[in-house]
Amino acid sequence: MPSAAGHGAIVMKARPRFLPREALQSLFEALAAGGYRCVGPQVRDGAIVYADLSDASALPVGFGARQAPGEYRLEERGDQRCFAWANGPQALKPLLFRPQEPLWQARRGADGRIQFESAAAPRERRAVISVRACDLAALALHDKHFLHKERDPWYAARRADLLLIAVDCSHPADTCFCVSTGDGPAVEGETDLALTELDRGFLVRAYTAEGAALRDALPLREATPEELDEAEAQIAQARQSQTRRMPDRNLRDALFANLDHPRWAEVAERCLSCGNCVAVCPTCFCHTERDLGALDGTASTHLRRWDSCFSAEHSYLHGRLLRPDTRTRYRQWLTHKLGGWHDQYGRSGCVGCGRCITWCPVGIDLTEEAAAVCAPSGEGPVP
Amino acid sequence: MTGPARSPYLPWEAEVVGRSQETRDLFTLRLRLTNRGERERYTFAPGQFNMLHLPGVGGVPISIASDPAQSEILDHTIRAVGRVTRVLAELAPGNRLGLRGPYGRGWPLREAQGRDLVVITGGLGCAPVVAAIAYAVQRRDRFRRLVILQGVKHSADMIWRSRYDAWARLPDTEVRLARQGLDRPQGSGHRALGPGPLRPRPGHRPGVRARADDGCQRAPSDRAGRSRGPNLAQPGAGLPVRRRPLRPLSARALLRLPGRTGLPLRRDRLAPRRQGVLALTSPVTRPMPMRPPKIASRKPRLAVHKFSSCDGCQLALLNAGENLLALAEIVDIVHFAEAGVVDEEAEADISLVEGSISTPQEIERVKAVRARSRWLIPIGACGTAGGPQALRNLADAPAWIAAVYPHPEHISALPTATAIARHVPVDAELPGCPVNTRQVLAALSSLLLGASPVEENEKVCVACKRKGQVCVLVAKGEPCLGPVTVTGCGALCPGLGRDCYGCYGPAENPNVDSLTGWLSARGMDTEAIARRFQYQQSGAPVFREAFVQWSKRGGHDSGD
Ligand SMILES: Cc1cc2nc3c(=O)[nH]c(=O)nc-3n(C[C@H](O)[C@H](O)[C@H](O)COP(=O)(O)OP(=O)(O)OC[C@H]3O[C@@H](n4cnc5c(N)ncnc54)[C@H](O)[C@@H]3O)c2cc1C
Ligand code: SF4
Ligand code: SF4
Ligand code: SF4
Ligand code: SF4
Repeated sequence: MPSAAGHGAIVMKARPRFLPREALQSLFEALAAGGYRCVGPQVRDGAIVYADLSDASALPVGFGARQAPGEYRLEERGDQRCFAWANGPQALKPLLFRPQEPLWQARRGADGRIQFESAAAPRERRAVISVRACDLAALALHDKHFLHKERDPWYAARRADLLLIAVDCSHPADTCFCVSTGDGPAVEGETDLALTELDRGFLVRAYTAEGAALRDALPLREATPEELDEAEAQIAQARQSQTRRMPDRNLRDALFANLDHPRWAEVAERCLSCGNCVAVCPTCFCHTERDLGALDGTASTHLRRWDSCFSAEHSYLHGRLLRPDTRTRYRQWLTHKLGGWHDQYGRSGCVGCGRCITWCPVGIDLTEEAAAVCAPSGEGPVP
Repeated sequence: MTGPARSPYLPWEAEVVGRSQETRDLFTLRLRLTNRGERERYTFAPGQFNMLHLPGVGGVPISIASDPAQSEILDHTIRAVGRVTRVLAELAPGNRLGLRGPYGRGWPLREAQGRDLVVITGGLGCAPVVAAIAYAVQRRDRFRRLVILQGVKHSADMIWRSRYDAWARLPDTEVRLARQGLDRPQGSGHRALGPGPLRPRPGHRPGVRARADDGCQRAPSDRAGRSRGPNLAQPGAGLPVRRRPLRPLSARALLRLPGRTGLPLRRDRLAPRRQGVLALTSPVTRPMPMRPPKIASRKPRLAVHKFSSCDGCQLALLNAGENLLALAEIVDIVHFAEAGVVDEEAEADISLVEGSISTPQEIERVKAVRARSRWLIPIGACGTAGGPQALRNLADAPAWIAAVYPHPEHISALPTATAIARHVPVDAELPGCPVNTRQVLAALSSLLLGASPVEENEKVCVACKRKGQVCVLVAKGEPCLGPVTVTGCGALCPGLGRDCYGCYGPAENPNVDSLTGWLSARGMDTEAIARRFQYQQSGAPVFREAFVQWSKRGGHDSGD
């Protein structure tokens, strides 16, 4: 596995070097030469999405994005920056944990026997450009989930073939709160290569052997002290710009002590139980399964697909829905994400990316809900 | 095997080596992995479960109810509650299925060694504890007292009647059974149960809903073959057990599959739609006694009927290409006017019904179709909710007819256009305007395997996000109905950059108030909001209500 992510890769002391803006295409060329299929951010359908990308000019040059609860709008910045926005609706999750994929096929022979055959794990070297600090924190959580005892073969294969090129966040959105969860905005390892975008170019740091090989293929020069200062000021500014915050890094006890809080019913008045928050959340991992049978009954494909605790099926057991209403479904989402994860993975399941706030069709803000539920009784949400 | 790293998700083939019926809807399957090496490797702890897979139908988690010391034989005690378990119920020795597991943590029985072991269960939760009890019984000397407590709501859940006594006869072993006092049969208020082995508890106050714990009584083991628990409720004691009626058992699967005999094609009767409770869309009301077809002698029969509609849904089947040819080989298409096969009177195993009921003649005709069909499945917005023509339900149809036609007396129309299920019981529904080929074929393939079609109950948003589409509501402010609409279309419209207009109808647990409130607060005018609910699904109660409510706010009379 090329990237660090706690899998025994060599973590190097990263000394930044400088890549002039005009030379950014050299990164794509080096990736192509290394046999990587490259995935990166680009503008599509009014948002910055991640898809195949082989040319620097296809990056969202000069674009920014304004994000607010339930609202996302692209903005023209009028400059040459490629990464001056916080995040789009998705980043790594759909690349590693596919929204829908076959797990196995079953075939019924003429003798009545059934043969089960596993879907092949894909092998393809992929590089993802513009992974953010929150995405890396979420990736570490997904690694814990999918690569524990019984490794998920498909996740493991894609993960092993993944090269990460991270970017420090210079322009957090209004919905971001990674500072309060301790997951950003600066990239501090857990990636192969990291970029800091400055006005005239990029600081480049390598953290793994693969990252270093890539770095060495780029036309870099030493970074000047001014450039290093500019980068530092930029990150400090990014930190300060974040006003939203999660009330605490560990809300486990407070949440579970407040399962009957009236706030759950209040948020259920607004919540659509649509599952958009779960779908965009980089750490949620629930799935459901489906069988697609051939008409003649001789073969079928077993699929897994993303699910969410907002769907009826998620709590369907033995003819009953254990969570029949939105109050209990929203409560499941928040108490699992911010509570139960501490028991399962040793930390909160929220990395502060703010996606669930932006992409909630009615702008529900989990930091506000968490604050309201966990506030000592009689107090409103933490301002 | 597929190399050294076998996928943990891949089932092993298992063979049914025994089957017993425990109660009316509860049965035990005895399974054996067919791969010898794996059979020998397989171990489990009491409390663990397996996933049982019926290819083409689905997989369900089921606890292992046998003794872990004999892990080559795996008993699964299953209640037939739904589409997969009902097909499992029909498996016979020699049939094959998929099994993977064991999963779950199991109980730390070793930690209880040298101490009293108290096993407490509720309801069908007692299925897996049999494994724990068997474990303890096999190693009786390692534990001190063994106490088995089982509390159930319904006496039908006391599934181990024969074993309670056997256990109670063991040395230093106690079996206590508690049943919640009052069963509540469907819709008929409180009724008490009084099945044979349950007896009134002396001194118990009548009419009080007892807590399970105050009903604990030692099950006397003095009489062979029957252990006894309390009957906590006096009034009505002695009445026969009232359970949900089971569906007719006689029908068989439509397809003959090697290695799977006797699969049923029962018409699953679905619970009436209760908003926010169950996602089920079919308001089925009563079982229809049907004569089972003699499947050995003929192919399953498919009919496609049309009522008030545009024929668009039938195209889903007509345009199925190769799949239509494949289907034609498997089934006899006995009536499908759009495809040129006409025999309205033909009996059919599966009848797909397009269109709504909008004339008095159609009421009679749909009743006749019902009588000639084993499975009747309305398709499309018209068949499931009335369709675009249900707009007449919001207006004064006779007045319109009088205004439009020079000779209204020649028009024979009902004042409303309504869903098929309003007139006859239906067995499943496929919504959509129109339904799509994938949806219809999936339903048919499930039916042919003897299982009711999987009911779609995800919202359009779920499908939209799986496809990686950019949300048009959040990124463009379009008034998308995806969050309150059931999918089946696969989020087609948002994928083309436009907002969902709800053609598959309301999803389960829809919060229309919140969504419309949000749109209104962002400047969408009241009339435009009302119109959103006035397309193909105005006949669906949730959308109709939204239309009426927003029309009123806009100062318009919904009856216009
Ligand atoms: C760990 C574990 C152990 C279990 N052990 C046992 C046991 O030993 N014995 C036993 O009898 N049962 C056991 N159960 C329960 C058993 O798994 C369910 O009764 C069974 O899955 C029902 O499946 P079905 O296909 O018959 O039901 P259906 O109701 O037809 O469900 C079929 C599928 O469709 C989905 N579905 C159906 N209806 C809805 C709906 N309204 N809303 C949303 N989704 C729906 C369900 O998710 C399910 O996957 C166990 C469950 C668990 C989790
Ligand atoms: S819960 Fe929301 S803010 Fe937190 S990681 Fe998930 S999407 Fe991001
Ligand atoms: S928050 Fe909900 S969807 Fe996300 S991982 Fe937890 S249970 Fe699953
Ligand atoms: S919080 Fe928002 S995104 Fe999540 S289910 Fe509720 S309405 Fe949908
Ligand atoms: S575009 Fe519509 S269907 Fe898709 S996520 Fe947004 S609201 Fe839901």
